[in-house]
Order: sequence, then C-alpha cells, then structure tokens
Amino acid sequence: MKRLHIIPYRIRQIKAQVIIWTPFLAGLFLFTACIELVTDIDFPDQEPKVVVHSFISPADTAAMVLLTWSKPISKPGNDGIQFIEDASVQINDLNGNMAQLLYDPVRKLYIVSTSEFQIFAGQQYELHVNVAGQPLINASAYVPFANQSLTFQRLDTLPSAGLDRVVVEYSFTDKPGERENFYAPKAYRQIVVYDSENDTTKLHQIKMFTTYGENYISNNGKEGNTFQLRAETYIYNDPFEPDGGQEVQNPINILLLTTDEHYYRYHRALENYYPDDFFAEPVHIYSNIDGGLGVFAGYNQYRAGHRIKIRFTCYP
Amino acid sequence: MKAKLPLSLAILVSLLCFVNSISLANTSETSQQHTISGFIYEKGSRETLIGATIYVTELRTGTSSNNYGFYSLTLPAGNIELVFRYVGFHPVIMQINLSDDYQLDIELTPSTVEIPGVEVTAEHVERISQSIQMSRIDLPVTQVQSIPALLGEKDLFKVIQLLPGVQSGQEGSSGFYVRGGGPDQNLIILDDAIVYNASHLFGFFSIFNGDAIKNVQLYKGGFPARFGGRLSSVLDISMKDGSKEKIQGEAGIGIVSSRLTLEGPIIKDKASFLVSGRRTYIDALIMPFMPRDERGGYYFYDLNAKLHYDHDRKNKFYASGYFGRDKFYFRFNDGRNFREEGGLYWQNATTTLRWNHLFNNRLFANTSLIYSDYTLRIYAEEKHDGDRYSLSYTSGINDIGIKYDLSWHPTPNHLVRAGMQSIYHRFTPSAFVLRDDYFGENIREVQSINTIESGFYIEDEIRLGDIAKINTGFRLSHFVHKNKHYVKPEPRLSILLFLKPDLSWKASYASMNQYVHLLSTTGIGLPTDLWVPSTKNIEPQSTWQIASGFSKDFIDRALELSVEGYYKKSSNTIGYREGASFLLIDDPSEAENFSWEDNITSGQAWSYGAEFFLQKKTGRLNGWLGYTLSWTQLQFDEVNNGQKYWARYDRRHDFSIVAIYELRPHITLSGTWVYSTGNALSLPVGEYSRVSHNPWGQSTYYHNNAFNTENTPFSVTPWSYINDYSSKNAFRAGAYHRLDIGIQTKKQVEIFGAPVERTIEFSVYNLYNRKNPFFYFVEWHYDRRQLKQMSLFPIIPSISLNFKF
Repeated sequence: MKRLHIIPYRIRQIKAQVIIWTPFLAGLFLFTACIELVTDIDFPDQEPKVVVHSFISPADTAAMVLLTWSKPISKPGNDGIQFIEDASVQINDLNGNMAQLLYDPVRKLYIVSTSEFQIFAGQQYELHVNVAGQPLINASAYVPFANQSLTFQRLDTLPSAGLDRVVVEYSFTDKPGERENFYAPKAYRQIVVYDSENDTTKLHQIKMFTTYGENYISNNGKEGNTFQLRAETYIYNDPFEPDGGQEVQNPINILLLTTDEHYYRYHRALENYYPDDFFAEPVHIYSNIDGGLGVFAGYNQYRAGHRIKIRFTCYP
Repeated sequence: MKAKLPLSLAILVSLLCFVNSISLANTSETSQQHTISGFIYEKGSRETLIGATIYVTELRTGTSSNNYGFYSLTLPAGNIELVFRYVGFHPVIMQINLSDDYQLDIELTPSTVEIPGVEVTAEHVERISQSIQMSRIDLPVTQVQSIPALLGEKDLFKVIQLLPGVQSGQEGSSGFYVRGGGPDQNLIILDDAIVYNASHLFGFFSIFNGDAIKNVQLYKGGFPARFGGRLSSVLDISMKDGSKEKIQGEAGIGIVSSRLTLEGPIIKDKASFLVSGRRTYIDALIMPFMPRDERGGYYFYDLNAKLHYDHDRKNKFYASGYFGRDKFYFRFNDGRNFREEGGLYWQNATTTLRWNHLFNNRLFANTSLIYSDYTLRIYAEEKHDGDRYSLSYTSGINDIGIKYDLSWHPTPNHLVRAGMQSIYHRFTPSAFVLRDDYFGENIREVQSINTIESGFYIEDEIRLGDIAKINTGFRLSHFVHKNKHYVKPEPRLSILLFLKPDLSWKASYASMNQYVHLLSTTGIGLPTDLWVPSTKNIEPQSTWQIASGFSKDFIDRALELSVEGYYKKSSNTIGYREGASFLLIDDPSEAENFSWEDNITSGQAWSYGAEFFLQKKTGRLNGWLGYTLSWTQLQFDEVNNGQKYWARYDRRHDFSIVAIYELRPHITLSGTWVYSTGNALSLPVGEYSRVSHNPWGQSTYYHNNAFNTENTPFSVTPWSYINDYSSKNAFRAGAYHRLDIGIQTKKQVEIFGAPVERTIEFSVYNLYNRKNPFFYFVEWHYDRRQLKQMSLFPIIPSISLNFKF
C-alpha cells in the first residue's frame, strides 16, 4: 500500500527536476549550436615553381619540352597556363652529345629535331633547364627498347544497351632484362574527322577504354609473364561516320609503349588522381624534376593494326 | 643489420636464462618446500581479481594473481606472513605456519566499504619499481568511470588516449596510436577474442561498455611472448564474471544512450551470469518529426553477456560474448509504385568458451575456444513497377580459434609460461551482389580468402635475489595463405635491475610480426577500412622495439613515476597506394578485375621518443600526468617520391593531466587537460595543368589561352589542375588542446523500496571552447581561394544519471 503512494510522489519529483533542468539544458545546447566552427587560416608562404613535361622516344621526329609555371594556390584569379618562354633548355646523352632546344612560339614549347639530336633505345638522357631567378633544374630519363610481342586475340563488335561496342583483346609477353620493365599498352579506333577550316577530312584516333588489365604495367614480380588486355569503345553514329546501316572496315591500332620508371610512376599517379574522393589518400603526383615539378621520361613503341567490319546503326 | 644484433642478443640471453632457470628450479625442488595457492576474490560479488599482489614479508618476494585470479607460491617450510593487496581494496595480512601444501582463497574488501582500523595507503599498491613488465599501464576501471567524457558517454578508449605514448586520431575519434603505430597495429582482446573494429559512430565512441569490464591492461612495448600478431600494442580487456553472491545491477541514462547491467548467481557461489546492454535513441527521438513516407536514422547497440561456472576447485568454465551493431538507414515509399531503401551497417560479434584447469598447486592451464566476426555491409534497393534493382557491398573478417596457456610456478622467484594459439581467418575483402531487372544483370562477385595464423611461445620470468629480474621469451609465429608459409621467430627480453628498494632500471626488446592488415584511407577507423591478410605478394608487417627507463615509487605519497625511452623500426608496413580507396570499383560488373593487392604499397616506419608518467591510483586526489616527446616517420617507395615523411599522427609533444578529487564522500570532482602538436597533413600549395603523354599527337583540345597540342606529344586536359602538395604531410595543423571538467554526486535513495545508489554527473567537454582543427579545406572566395579550418566539438555540456542496485 505504501508503495502505491511512493510512485506518484516519485513521478512528481521527476517532473519537478525536468522542469528545472530542461530550460537550462536547452539554453546550453542553443548556445552550443550557435558557435561558429569554421575559421579562416592563412596559407603557408608559396612561390611559383617551374613545371617541366617531356617524353622522348626514338619513334618521334623531335624532342619537345613544355615549360610552364605552377600557380600558388593563394594567388587570386585563374590565368590558365603560364608558359615559360625565355628559358635555356639543354639535352644530352652520356656519350658527350648535347643539344640546345629552341622555343617554338607557335607550339609554345622547346624543341630539337631528331636530325640534330638523335634519341636511341638503351640510352640515358639528361635535361637541364635554366630559368632566370630559379635554381638550375635537372632531370634524367632512360629510353627502353621496344617490345614486339604484341598479339591480337579477338576483335569483335558487341551489342550493348543503347550503343554497340568494339572490343579488342590482345596480349604481349614481358622480356625480362637487367632493368625492371614498364609498359603502357594503348588501343585506338581510327575515325575520319572533317576539318572545316580546310574543307578536308583527316584521320583521328579515339582511345579505347581498357576494361581488362591495366593501363600502366610493371613487370616487378611478374617477369616473363604474358599480359592479357581488353579494350572497348562505343560506336557513335556522329556526323563524320558513315550513315546508319552502312558497313565499313574500321582500323583498330594498338600501341605497346615500353617506358622508363618515371613515365610509369607519373602516369599511374595521374590515373589515380581523384581530388574529390573523400575516401582516397591525396595523390602527390610523381616528379623526377630536381628543382621543379613535372616529368622527364623516355619511351619506345611498337605498333600493330587490324581492321574490323563495323555496321553503323541509326539510333533515334 | 642493426635489427639483427639485438635479435641475436635476445635469443642468446633467452636461452641462457631458460637453462639457468631450469637448473635453479631443480635446485629449489631439493629443499623442503610447500606450495600455497588459491584464488583472490572481491568480497560481496566473488569476482576474481586480476593482478592482485601476494607479498611474503620474510622473504621479500611475492607474486600476483593471473587473469583468472589464480596465484601460486612455493616457499620454504616455516612461519610466514602473507600480504594480499589490490588497488582500491583493503589488504589482508595472514600469518601461516607452512608445513604442507596449502590452498588459500582470499576475499578482499573494496575500500569503499570501511573496515575499522584498516586504512588503504600507498603500501597497498603494487610497486611499479618491482614489476619487470615495462611499458605497461594498468587502468583502474573506477578511474575510467570518474573521468569526464564527451556527451557523458564513458569511454575506455578516450581514457587510454590520455596516457603517455598513446595518441588520439581525429577530434572525438576513439582510435588510438601507440608509439607511432596505426590503429590496426593494436591487438584488442576481449576475453581472449580479437576485436577487429572497436568503434561506434565512425569512431566517436568505443564499443566497450564500462559496466561490463573488470580489468584493462595496455602494453606499449616489452611485449611478453604470450602476445603476438600485432606490432604496436596489446589492450587486454577482461569482462566481469558476474556476482556469485547476490543479484545486482547498474543502469544509466545519458544524452546519447542508455544502458543496463544485471549480474547475479545462478547457483550461489558456483555459477553466475552477467548481461549488459546499451543502445542509442536518437533515431527514436527524431522519428515523430520525419514525414511518414521518408524514414531514416542511426543507432548503435551492444550487448555483453557472460556465464561462469565453478565445477570444482580444479575446473572452472566461462562462456562470454559480445555483439554490437551500428546502422544508418533510410526508406522512401511514394505510396504508389516506387519504393527505395538503403543503408550501411557494421557489426562485431565475439564468443569465448574457456576452461580453467588446475593440474596441481603449481600448474595452471587455460583452454579457450574463440569466435570473432566483423562485417560491414552497404546496401541499396529500389522497386519500381515490379522491376527491382538491388546492390550490396560486404566486407569483413571471421575467425575461429583455439588458445592454450600453461603457467607453472616452481618457486616464488620463478614463473614459466607456455602455450599456443591457432586462428582460422576467413577474410572477405569485398563482396558485390548486383541485381538489375531492367538491364537483366545479376552479378555476384565474392572474394574470400582463408588463412591460418598460429603462434607457440615460452616465457620464463625469474628473480635473481635483490639484484635483478629477467623475463625471457620466445614466440614462433606461423601464417599460411594458399601454399605460402611464413615462419617468424620472435624473441622477447625484459630486464629489471633493482637500484634501490623503490627505484629500478628496466630495459626490453621485442620482435613482433603482423599477418593481418587494415587498409585505411583516412586512418580514423572508418568501418569502410578493409581487413586483409598477408599473401605471397604482401609480406607480413614486422617490427622490433627497444625500450629502456627508470621506475620509481614514492611510497609516502602513493605516487609512481616512470620515465622511458623507446626506438621502434617497422618493415613491410602497408597502406593504400595514393589515390586508392575502397570505392575504387565504380562499376560492380568490373569487380572481377579488381584486386585489393594491386592497391597496396608497402614501406617502412621509424618511431622513437621518450615518455614521462606520474600516476596516483589511490587517495582523495588521484589521476596522472603524462608527457610524450616523439617522432614518427614513414617511407614508401610509391609515396612522396620514395622520400621519408612525417606520419599523419606524428606528434612532437603530447601532454595530459587527469585529476579526480573526492571533495566529500559523495561528491567527486574531475578534470582533464590535454595538449598535443597538430597532425601532419598534406595541403595544396600550388597547382598546375594536367599534362599527360599522347603518343599520337592528334589531340584537338584547346586550352583557355589557345594552347594547341596538335602535333605535340602532350595531352592537356582543359580546366583540370593538379595540386602541388609540396612534400607529403608537410603542413602542420594547429595544436590541439582542451579542458574537460565533471562533477559526480552520489546519493543513497530508495526506489520501489529497494536501496539504490544514484549518481548524477554533470560534465562539460571543451570548457574554454577551443576551436581545435578537425580538417582543413580550400574554398573559393570571389576570385581567390581561402584556407579554412573546420572544428568539430565546441563547448558541450552533458548530464547523465546512473543507478547502482
């Protein structure tokens, strides 16, 4: 009987405590909610840096170097690419051959033709860039030998939801040597592009997406392996393609690049660069430029082509 | 080479000491000796006490109770005085005429219960200067319960973060970093079962409910050989067995969650149970304010349970388990033909079956069968006009293991431990299941990996008179994945030299290997982090650590001081490659091409520093003062151009002060202040155009200032820029500091006629409202960018109500 009296008493007590505490706590939480939690911070001191990009190969007709400035993140505005036009750029091999690269104001880069300075497979090259007010910039690259073991395994068209696809499957075999080998296999579908300025057509290569295998491959731990790859692209019925319903022989080209480590690491970093992915580690883009940013890399290539009959379909 | 020298030395000393100890043991056997052994219990609940000390006054020697409360002392015949002590308990002193083997179970009374004429003083605390184990901190659970906490949620991990050598991750996160190691390098054991993800609410709270915990020990170095499998620390947590004398319990109501614990006898003095549960109720509170067709929320809960059965004096059985789950969910139904739901949950489950067996008074054995499971699942489902689209992603790890431990006490100065452990791991780094009725897709890609991890150990602890104590150990670890076997020897050595009765010098060497790894993108213990095994391509992580320091007891003031220096070198530490994340697979149909091994890079880590720890465990004013000076560097070939860089949680200075003061018998004040150097972060300092190689030289892209890449080997992606981060983690975030205070008032009340101890706690987190950095981001501000700092927790008051009955 006594217990029955206690319960309402306890309830009244609790009610009284709730009445006392609720406004107090609500006030405190409102105060907490009003506190600004974002504050402005000064950027650390920053200066522009020289950015060097150069990919050299015996397959090219010239060695080209693109020199630009990086922009401090705190600098107002967006000026696009800031080219460096007054630098001194030299390239040399380790056998005493050296050449000065000259600035091409049309292409906005430094260039030397391979008739003046030849690039050979199996050689190491050094690049020296001197920009006024900056420390001397140096980099070195190695040009590997080409790998010619490319084999086509399948070339086909596949129906897909909405658009048909071209699929190419191919492979190559690593040739182990003293150095670690790096590869960048690339598949292209050749199309005809209309040049409205000159009222002519020209050939254009559309890069196909690698859907099996990797875009950049190291043979580390996989020496002598055969690498299988698959690349695909959709068949668009754009204005430069034949009309719907026609069948044409369409060339598919494979480039098997053998590269040095700098090429591999730089492009792999670019491939993984997703600055907006909250879950991803921030990517520091690889650079072998001593005193600057960018990359100086060597590569070689082997090219093989095939044709496939493509039937263009008109889609509404 | 540097690593090999201490390793060889440790093996040599291990062998010498083991041979020496065996001969000493044999010599001792020849004299007239008897063994006194038994269990040490808490009076009132018959809960066994772990680490209680038993001191033989005449011989100035002693031992301590093991993880099951068992002790054994083999002593010469004659009159002896034994003193039984445990922190926070009244001591028991007994005079015994030892003429035969003797079984003596002792009940110690908590100091909260006053005994006339008996005072709990510093003498009653185990002396740090006498313990050979260095780099170990015993954390009294009562202190955990008294320290002010965020939103009033008492959190074991948040308290551990206040200890020297232990660093917190992000603000509010319960993940912890020990001597430069990552959160996955901490072996967290709950009643012998490994806990893989010890976080609720993305790391803001740990999964351990303080009401169900009996004992916590943290090892930061000098690891005994009985522990293995992780590089940086061992956190050994024991659950309460449950009272064998009476039904009792505890309940609490807080801002975030409520909890209830019940324990009591099933058969008086023979069998007991404990059940403890906790659940948040934010989802239930906001439910009435949500539209009927749209529902969503978050909750977590956990449940601890334990059964204990004393079959007879020689055989005791335990069954304990933990289950906890966090879940975010949403549901939408338009009431006609469209319905969608999705969510994310992660859950831990552990079960341990244990059998304690006494072969004789000197030989104790424990056998454990262990099950542990961690699962993360992300799911989404849509139903529209009869078509169904469902997608789920699952990852996790599942363990079944057996553990066998023996401890042999040949003399009071000599203890030998040996045992083995074997765990069958089943990893599921990723499992995709996709069903799409509209496109007719039905994809099921499940990667699962089975491995076995084993370890065999022997440990020998011997006291050489008043000169020294030596603990030598050797662990042989083995891991198999498919046909790849790893066998790694792990020598361990700890030495103590007595300089004075209250001052000692200690040194230790430990070699450890880790065969399971956590791939973490952010390091803050998100449930999306993946557990993966060592494989033929991914070698086990390994480390060796040396530590040395002094320990001093200030007996009159009940203070203990330790100063330690350490150097740790880790190899094959693994992490995600830059840019890699668990979301790498955009298209589930490509899952077959995805291999988590391709996204991993391995490297090295160096960590060194000094720690200062002044602790007071008893008295009206108790707490501690800790300071750590440390450096941690990492090096990965594929990260930061292969150059060394500061680890994200490299902290030059880390300081903490914890004070608990009993103002009156029923009023306790508490406060903590922490200061630490800011995290090392990567922050963009500049940007440049994204240029890649185009071997065809036929790009038709034009940049904003008409850069034509036609007939050049360059491809420039328009309006796409690369951030220049300078060096990795080159930016140092602002320092972190915070003051928390709390007041607890206790009162004996009667509820429904039953006596209940009611505790009201009011606490304030971040009292002076310091805006500590949580993360930084860059924001456009008209035509320029501004660096911004985001803080997480301002001043936060909280109140909680607890009942003990």
